[in-house]
Amino acid sequence: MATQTIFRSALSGPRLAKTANRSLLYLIAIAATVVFVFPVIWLISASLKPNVDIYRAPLNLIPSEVDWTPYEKVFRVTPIARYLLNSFTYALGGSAITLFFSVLASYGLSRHIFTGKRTFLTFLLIVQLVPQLVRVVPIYIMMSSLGLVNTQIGLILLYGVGGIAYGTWFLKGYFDSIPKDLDEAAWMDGASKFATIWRILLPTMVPGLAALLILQFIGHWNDFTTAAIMLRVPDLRPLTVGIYTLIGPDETDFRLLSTAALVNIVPVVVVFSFLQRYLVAGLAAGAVKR
Amino acid sequence: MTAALSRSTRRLERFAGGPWPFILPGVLLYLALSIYPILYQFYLAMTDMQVTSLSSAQWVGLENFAFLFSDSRFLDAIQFTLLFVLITVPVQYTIAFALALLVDQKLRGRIVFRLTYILPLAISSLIIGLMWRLLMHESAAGFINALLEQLGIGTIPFFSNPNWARFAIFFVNIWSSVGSTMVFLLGGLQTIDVEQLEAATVDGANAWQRFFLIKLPLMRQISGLALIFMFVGTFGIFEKILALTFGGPANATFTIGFYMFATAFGARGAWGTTAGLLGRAAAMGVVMFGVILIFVLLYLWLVMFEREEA
Amino acid sequence: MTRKLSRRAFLRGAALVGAGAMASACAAPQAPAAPQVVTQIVKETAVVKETAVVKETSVVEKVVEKVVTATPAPAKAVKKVVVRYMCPTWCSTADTRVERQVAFRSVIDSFNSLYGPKGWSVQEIPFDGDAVQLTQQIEQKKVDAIWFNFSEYVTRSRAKQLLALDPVMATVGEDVKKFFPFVQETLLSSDDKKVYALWHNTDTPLYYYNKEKIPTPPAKWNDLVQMCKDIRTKEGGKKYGFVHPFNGWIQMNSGLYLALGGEYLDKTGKPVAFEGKNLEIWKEMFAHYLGLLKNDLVPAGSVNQDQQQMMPDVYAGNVYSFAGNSNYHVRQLKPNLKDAEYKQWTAAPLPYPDKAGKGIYQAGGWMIGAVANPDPDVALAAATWVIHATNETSQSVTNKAGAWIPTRSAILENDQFYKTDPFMQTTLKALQNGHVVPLDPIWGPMSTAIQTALSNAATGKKSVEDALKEASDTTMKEYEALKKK
Repeated sequence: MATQTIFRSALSGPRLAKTANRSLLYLIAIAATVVFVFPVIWLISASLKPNVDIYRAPLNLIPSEVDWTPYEKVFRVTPIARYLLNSFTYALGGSAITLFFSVLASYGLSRHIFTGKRTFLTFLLIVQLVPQLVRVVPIYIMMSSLGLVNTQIGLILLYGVGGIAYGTWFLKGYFDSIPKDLDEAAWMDGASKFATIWRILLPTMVPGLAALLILQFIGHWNDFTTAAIMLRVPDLRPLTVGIYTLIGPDETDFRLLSTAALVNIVPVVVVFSFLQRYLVAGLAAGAVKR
Repeated sequence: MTAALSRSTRRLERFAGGPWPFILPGVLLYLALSIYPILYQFYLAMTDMQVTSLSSAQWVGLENFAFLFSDSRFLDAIQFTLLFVLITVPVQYTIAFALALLVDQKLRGRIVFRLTYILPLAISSLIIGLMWRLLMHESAAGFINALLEQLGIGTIPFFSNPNWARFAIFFVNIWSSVGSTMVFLLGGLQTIDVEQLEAATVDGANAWQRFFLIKLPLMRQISGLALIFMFVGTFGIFEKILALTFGGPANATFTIGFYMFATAFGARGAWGTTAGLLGRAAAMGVVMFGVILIFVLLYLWLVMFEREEA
Repeated sequence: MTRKLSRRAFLRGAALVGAGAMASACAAPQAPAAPQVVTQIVKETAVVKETAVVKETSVVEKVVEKVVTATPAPAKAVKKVVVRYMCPTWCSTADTRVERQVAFRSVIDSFNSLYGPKGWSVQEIPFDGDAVQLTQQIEQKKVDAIWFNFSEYVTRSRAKQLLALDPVMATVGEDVKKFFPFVQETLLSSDDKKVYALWHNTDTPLYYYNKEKIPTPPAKWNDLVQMCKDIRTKEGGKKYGFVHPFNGWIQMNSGLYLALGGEYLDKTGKPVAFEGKNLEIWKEMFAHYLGLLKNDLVPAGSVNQDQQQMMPDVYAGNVYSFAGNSNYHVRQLKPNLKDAEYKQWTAAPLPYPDKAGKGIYQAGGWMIGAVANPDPDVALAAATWVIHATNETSQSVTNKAGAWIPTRSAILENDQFYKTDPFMQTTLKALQNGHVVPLDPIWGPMSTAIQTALSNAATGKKSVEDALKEASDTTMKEYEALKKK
C-alpha cells in the first residue's frame, strides 16, 4: 500500500505533469528558434556553395566544398564598400536628427502642462502609426520640387524627421519617470534648461536613448522604399537598394545575392545581439509607462 | 523656503515661453514632412500629374477615382489587402502572445530564445523577402520543396498558385513581425503583479485559469495598442511582395500599396506597367489612407468607449 | 580575367600589332587635324585589322594617340564642353563584368582623345535604368546624352527630349542607310522623319536547346509539343523538354501573332488587337500555352516566372530547352554550367505556330541619343558623341562584350567574329524576320493587358474569353486616357 502511494505520487499528479510540461515548453521554444534562425543559416550556406551545388544539391546545408569566390567577388566587383558607407551615413545622420528633436520635444511635453496636451499626445501616437508607404508619392514630388532628390541630405532629412513623433512618444515616458525635483534643484543652482537636460536628465535616460538609437538606426539601415525613390544614382545608394539592383534584368546570381544580403545582415545582427537587452528593456519599460 | 521654491517653480514654467521652444521645432518639421504630404496627396489625387510633367499638372477632379473603382485590378487589390490584414493580425497576435508567455517562463536559455525570436527585426524587409524567395523557390534550387520531396510530401507551388502565393506572403510577414509584437506584449506581462498570480495559485488556479482570468484582462490596454500597431503597420507591406511574388501570379498578391508604387514609379521588371502616373497613384494613396483611418477611428472609439465604462 | 586590365597592359601586349597598324596609319596622308579625317583613319584601321576585343582597343588607342600628337597645339583657348552621358550600369564602365568595363571604357577614352583638343569630353553617369528617372533628369537638364530603350524612340522624340542628328551626321559622313533596314525604318518613323537617335545594339529571343537531349530542334509548335510529350514519357519526374517564361511572355510572341496575320493598331493608331479575327488569334496562342501547362509539358512554376527566374531549373539539368534572349548563352549558361555541359547547348530560331508560314521575331535593343539643348556647342558635342559611340569600331567592341548584335550592315560583312560564331549566326538568321513593336505609347498598356490576360487564364482565375475581354476593356480605357492628353 505504501509503495503504491509513493509510486502514484511520484509519477502522477503535478510533478510529472510539470516535467512533461517543461519538456514540451523547451521543445516548442527550440522549434521556434529553428524557424527564426534557419533562413540566415541557409543564406550562409548558399553563399559558400559552389555554383553547381546550389541548383543540384539544395538540401546540403554544409557545402561539399567551400567556395569563397562570392565573398571576394562581391567586394571587388560591386561597389559594396561604398554602399555600406552610404547606409551607415544615412542611418547615423537620420538617428541623430531624430534623437535631437525628440529629446527636446519630449522634454517639453513632459515638463509642462498645457491645454489640449492629452489630445496632442493621442494625436502623436496615432500619427506615427501610418506607414511611410502611404506618403511616398507626395514626398517624392515635394522633394523633387525642393531639388532634394538624389541628394544625401534629402534622405537624411526624411529619415530624421520621420522618426520624431515616435521618438517623442517614446522618450516622454522616460522624462516622466524622472522627478521634477531634479529640474528644480538644477534650476536653483543656476543651470539653464538646456544644461539641465544635457547634464542631469539625459544621463539617467541612457537605456531609453540607447533603445531609441538602436531602433532608429536599424530601421534606417534596413530601409528600401524611401531610399529607392530618392536615390537613383549608384554612388549614393545604400546597401538595400544596391542589393535590389543585383537582381536586375541581367542576372540572378544566387550566391552573389546571398553574400551581399549577408553583408547587410551580419553587422546589424551582431551589434543587435549585443545591445538587444537595452532594446528589450527600453521597449518593455516604455510599454509599461503608458 | 517653501515660498521661494514655488516662486522658482513658477519662474521655471514661464521661462522662455513655456513648452513651445522645445516642442515647436520638432513638431513643425514633422508636420511639414510627415503630415503635410498626406494632405497634399488629396490634392494630387485630383490631378493628372505624371513624373514626366511635374510642373504641368491639370486638375481633373474625381477622374482618377472613377478610373480606379472601375479597374478590376484595383478592386482585387483592396480585397486582398483587407484579407491580408484581417487574417495575419490575429494570427500574429496569438503567436506573439504565446512566445511572450514562453519567454516569460523561467526556462533556461530564455535570453537566447528571445534573441532569436526578435532576430528578423534586424533584417531588412527586402532581404527577408529575397531569403524566403530563395527558400521557397519552385525550381530545383528551392530548399523547402526539396525537403518536402525527400519527405515524400510533394512540392508546393508557392509562387505559381495564387492561393499558395498568398500564403507565402502571409507567412513571411508574420515571421518577420511577430518578434516586435512579442517584445511589446512581454513588457506588459512583466509588469503584472507577481503577488496576484501567486495568490491565485494558492487558491488553486491552474495555468489556463491564471492566463485567462488574470493575465489576459490585465493586458487589455497593451493588447489594444499592439493590435492597432499591427493593423495599421501591416498596410505598409511592400518590399516583401516585391521580392517574393511581385504581385503575382495574375495579380493575386497585389496590395493597394504595391499597385500604388508600381503605378507611380514602375516596379522594375513589371512588364510594361504604365508608370509615372502620379495622379492616379496619389488617388490610390488616398484610398489606402482612408482605409487606415477607418481602423484608427475604430480603435479610438473603442478606447474612448472603454474609458467611459471604467 | 580576374583583374581589371589596365590600359598600359593592353598597349604593351599588342605592341607588335600596334606597330603594324601604325605603319599603315603613317602611310595615310598627314592631313590637318580636322575631325573628319581622324575618323576615317580610325575606321580604316579597324576594318583592316580584324582582331580580338583587346587588340582592337589598343589599336584604336594607338592610332588615336598617334594622330593627336601629330596635330599642332591650338593657339587659342578652347571652350570646355562636358557631355554628360547617362546610361544604365550594365552598359557602362561600372558594370560588374570586366569585358564590359573594358569595352565601354575604350569607347569613352577614344572620344576623349579624339576631341580633347576641341575641349570636349564625356562624363559617364551610370544609373539604374529606370526610364522615368531618365526623363526626370532630362527635364531638369542634368544630362546631355542618353542610352535608352528603342521602344521609347517615338515618345521621347515627340516630347522634344531628343536632338535631330541629321545635320551633324551629314558633316561627318554618317548615313542612316548604313544600318539594317528595320533600323532605318524605325529611326525614320519619327513624326518629322528626322533621325533623333542612333540604334546601338539589337537582340531577339531565341530557342536554346541541349543538342544531346534534343538532336533536332522543333521548327513548329506541333513539333515542340510532341518533343515535350516524348521527354515526359521517356524521363518523367522533374525532367522537362521546354520552359517558357509567362512573365514577359509578349517578348517571345509579339512577332508570332503577326505571323499568324494579327494586327495591333489600325492606321489611326487605335488598338484593334481584340477585335474579330485578331481576338481569335490570341485565343489560339493562349490555347497552346495553356495546353503546355495543363498537360504538364512545362514546369508549373513558370506561370509566375520571367526569363531570369525560370533558369535555375535549366542549370539544375532538369529542362532541356528554353526561350531566352539572344545573349543568354554568354550571360546565363556559361557562368552557371560546367564547361562540358555548356558545350552541349546551342540555339535555333523559336518554333512558330503551324498555321504561320514562318516565324517573326521581336527585335529589341537600345539606342543612344543626344538631349535637345539650346547651347549649340553642347549640342554639337553631344551629337558627335552619339555618332562616335555608335560607329563601326565602337559597336564592334561593345557588342562583342555584351553578346549583342550590332546594327550596322558593314560590321557583319567585315567582322570575322560575327561571320563565324554560331550563336551570332542564328540570331542574325532570326532577325531577318525581325519586327519592331509599335512605338505608340499605347503599346505599353496594351502589352501589359495581354500578359495579364494570359496570367489570369493560366492560373484559372478567369476563362480565356473573360480574360481577353478584360484586356480589351483596360486597353481601350488607357487609350481614351492617352488621347485626352
